[in-house]
Amino acid sequence: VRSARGVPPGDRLKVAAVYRDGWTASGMLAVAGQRAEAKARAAGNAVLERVRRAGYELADALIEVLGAGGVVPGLLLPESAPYEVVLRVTVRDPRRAAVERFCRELAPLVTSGPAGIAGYATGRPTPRPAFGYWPTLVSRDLVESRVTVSLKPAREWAESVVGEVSR
Amino acid sequence: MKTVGSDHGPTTVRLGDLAHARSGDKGNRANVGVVAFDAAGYAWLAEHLTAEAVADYFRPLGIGDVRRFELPNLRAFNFVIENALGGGASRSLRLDSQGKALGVALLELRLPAPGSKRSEA
Repeated sequence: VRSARGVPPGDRLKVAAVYRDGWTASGMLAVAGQRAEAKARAAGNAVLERVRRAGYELADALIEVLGAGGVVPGLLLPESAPYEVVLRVTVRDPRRAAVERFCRELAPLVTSGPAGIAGYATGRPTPRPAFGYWPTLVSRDLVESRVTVSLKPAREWAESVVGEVSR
Repeated sequence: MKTVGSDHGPTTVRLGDLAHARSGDKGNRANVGVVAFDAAGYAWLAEHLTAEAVADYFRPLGIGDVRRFELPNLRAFNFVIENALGGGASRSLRLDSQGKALGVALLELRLPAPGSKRSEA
């Protein structure tokens, strides 16, 4: 390599900050039969409506119909109407109880919803913490740099980190 | 798959017949790398695969601005698409929260074929 040029380092460092941002849950069910896409969408809306009637206005919710152009929504459509699709419903809310309510409403579609809905196991999600990502810059002189070399098995290291996070 | 509301006539060319693409995330932005199969294809795409054409195509996703960076020594472009991921990889509710499918979706873009009246316009 010749004639490479550079500039001196800047006076700020990048920080990839991750912060807790409420709770989230996501469940998937297979929906089969004529007009599977419309049925999946109606079933997803019914679940969200039941959560609403239980007294929870969810901060954010999304219905995706996979197999009917749902991965890149609004751009691509299958050549013919699919006979089976995957319904995916995802929610996020600051309240764990609201997300838990959603989790309890999804699986009953298999037994109490329209015919042709399958996937009792994947349709019973559990709430998990949601995270936001905030990439930003901080002044270099605020950061004290230090190198630590630690010889310990990966599993022990992971346990010590998980311990710190849960405290 | 077919594109929504697009012209599939003989005067159009599918991007995927001229180039390959791969995509991913950076915060709430997506990168789509497009690599032309040959030098002639790169030269033609440099003129026709504009940031505006890519922005129009992805508009239904509710995206923001699109910037194009040219890498002629690789016969490639990098498109940086703002607000493409419904909040960003860790926050988005979408299954494809990292925009992994945006690249192959872009390959279905139809451009006016070389030599057709529309490409001269």
